[in-house]
Amino acid sequence: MLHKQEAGRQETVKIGMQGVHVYYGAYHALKGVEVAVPEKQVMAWIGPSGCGKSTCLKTINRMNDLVAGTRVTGTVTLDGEDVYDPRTDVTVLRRRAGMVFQKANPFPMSVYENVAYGPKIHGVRRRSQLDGVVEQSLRAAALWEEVKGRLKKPALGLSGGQQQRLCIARALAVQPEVLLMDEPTSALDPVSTLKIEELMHTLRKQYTVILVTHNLQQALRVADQTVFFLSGEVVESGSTKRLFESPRDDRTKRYLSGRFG
Amino acid sequence: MTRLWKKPGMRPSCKRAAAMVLGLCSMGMFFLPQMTFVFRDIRYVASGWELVFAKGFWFGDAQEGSLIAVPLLLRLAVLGGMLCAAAGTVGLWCCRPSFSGIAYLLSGISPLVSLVAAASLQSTAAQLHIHEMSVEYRLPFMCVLAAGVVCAVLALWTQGVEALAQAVFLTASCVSIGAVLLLTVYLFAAGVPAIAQIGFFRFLFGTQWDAGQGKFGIFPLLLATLSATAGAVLVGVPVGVLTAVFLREMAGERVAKWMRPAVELLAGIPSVVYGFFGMLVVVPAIRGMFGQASIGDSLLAAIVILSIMVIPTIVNVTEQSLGAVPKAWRQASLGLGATPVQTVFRVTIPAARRGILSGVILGVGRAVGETMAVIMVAGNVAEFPRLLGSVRFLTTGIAMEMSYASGLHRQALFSIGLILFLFLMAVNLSFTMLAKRGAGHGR
Ligand SMILES: Nc1ncnc2c1ncn2[C@@H]1O[C@H](COP(=O)(O)OP(=O)(O)O)[C@@H](O)[C@H]1O
Ligand SMILES: [Mg+2]
Repeated sequence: MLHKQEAGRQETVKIGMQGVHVYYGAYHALKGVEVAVPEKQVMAWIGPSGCGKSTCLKTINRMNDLVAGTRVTGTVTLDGEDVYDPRTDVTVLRRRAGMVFQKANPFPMSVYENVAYGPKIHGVRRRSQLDGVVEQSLRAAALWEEVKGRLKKPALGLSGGQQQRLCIARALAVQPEVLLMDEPTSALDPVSTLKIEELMHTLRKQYTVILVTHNLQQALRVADQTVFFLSGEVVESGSTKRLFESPRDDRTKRYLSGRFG
Repeated sequence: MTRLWKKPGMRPSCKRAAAMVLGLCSMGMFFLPQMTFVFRDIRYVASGWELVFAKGFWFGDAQEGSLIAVPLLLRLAVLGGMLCAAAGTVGLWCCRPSFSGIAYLLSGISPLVSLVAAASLQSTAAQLHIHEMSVEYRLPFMCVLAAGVVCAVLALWTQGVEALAQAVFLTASCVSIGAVLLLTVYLFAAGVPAIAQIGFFRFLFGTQWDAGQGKFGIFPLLLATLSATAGAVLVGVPVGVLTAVFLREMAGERVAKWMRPAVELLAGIPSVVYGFFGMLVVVPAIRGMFGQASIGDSLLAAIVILSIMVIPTIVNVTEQSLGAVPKAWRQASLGLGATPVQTVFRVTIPAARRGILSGVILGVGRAVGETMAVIMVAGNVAEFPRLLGSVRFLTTGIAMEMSYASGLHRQALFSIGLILFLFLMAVNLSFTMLAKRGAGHGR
């Protein structure tokens, strides 16, 4: 599948969503969402709260399955394969599309155990191999230098920003292809936020990242692409620069100028 | 009316005055000659004050164990109560309302302490065949109790409602702690003499329990209790924990809605009913299954019944602690591609470990302390436990023999109670340590 870009460049689509509707019981949360996420880029999803960004994110790794009474129609694809195909192995899907939540949620275990959790789940037993994965993931999450001396200490003793980077490391440890980040910095102080934003620049080399954010400046700083959501629909999408400088839709314009949301 | 002189600290008020007057009255009540105090044909009608000096500070000889400690306590309680009432009044005079509140409360409690002391004095005396002895408390002591409480309330009230409320909470907690403390002290006072006389090792590791021949070795009973408890825990904990996991994590809301009350109901069934079930179903089943090898009344039957009895406790407590595990951890685990089963065993259960352990402690407590149900299925023969043979437990030993035991036998039964108590304390402590160690990952 191909995605037309403003610049005329054509890129592989990692995640595609066509006509996606999500219902929470009778509540119609997503109304025909169309998104194409290009590979190895950072895509920001912006929009006022309650417009369905998290819902949309969770349709990709099927975390919506966990909410009773949820119904999804339309197609969501990862590398062109239908995510909602009955033959899809959800555990493989979730390994390939890792998630970072709004509130850092490290397990009540040591730093090491947190990062090693995913690999262990997926069958890595050898200590040396685990050690390697842990170090690599912590380095990738720019946390290694801060925690290398306290790998055996409880993860819940880390600061908020460190905890969130630990969660990113934990997600990276299972070698995903996609990172779904749901407002990862909204509970953090500016310094920690900055660290994670810097991290984003390195992550884009290897991973496809979707970043849900309330912070428009953040989207502008880190995202290649931006999608604007409003009440369960995609209003406008395009390269971040283009969308912020010359929004085509009137509602986008008003949102960006802070007039609602 | 108008309160122009509203300075901090105390001001003369009717509450203060009333408390002081009542305090003096209750002090006086200790002098009222309403206590009948009879000992070996010598009859006293004594006031509390006279009691303190009557017959010296203690009586009986050292051999008679608790006959020393208890009268001492009795006298100290009376003396202390009166002094406390006096101190309370003085405290109010010197504007120390919190101090005098406590003092009044103590003076109010003193008759209760002496009541308890007197009761145990009497039972000890009866056991030594001193039937002529009685200590009776009448009106004055009840009055002292009431007056002490009222005085304390008034004294604290002068400091405002807030102080009063705090004092009430404090008192409530003191009452519960005090009850436990009192029980502990009494248990030791009652249990230690026999152990001292028999000898600790002969008592604990003696292999024969035969009151008729004066052999008081509780090792068979101890072993029976240990093995029955271990068996019940071995069966009950896995079943209980897995049931809780099923209810909380796997079962749909519709199934859980029916199963949860059913399990809770199981916890509320009186133990006699469990015993009844064991007698009518489990015992015949074992007899049928093993034929020659067992008469049915056996350790195995007790283990089966105890397992069933501990399951609801463990299920309930485990379920609650699983419910307290944050959803975010489950989501994180599932989000990494773990299956629900992996999530339960690697994240949820470890996170709920403390709660589950306390469920296990409760279960152990129930199994160790259970008496009625196991009397009905265990056969109650004081022999070394075999799985299919009849056994007697520590608890059933006490329950069956207490009604006719006397002398050292009776005291040995108290000592068994003490051993049970110590055993449960040890279990509690070790589980707490277990929960603390390795809980370093938690908050
Ligand atoms: N589990 C749920 N059950 C019912 N309604 C939900 C649930 N989760 C979200 N919603 C509703 O769906 C809408 C979109 O929510 P969400 O995707 O969380 O928005 P956002 O992340 O953009 O703030 C909101 O109106 C919210 O109330
Ligand atoms: Mg959201």
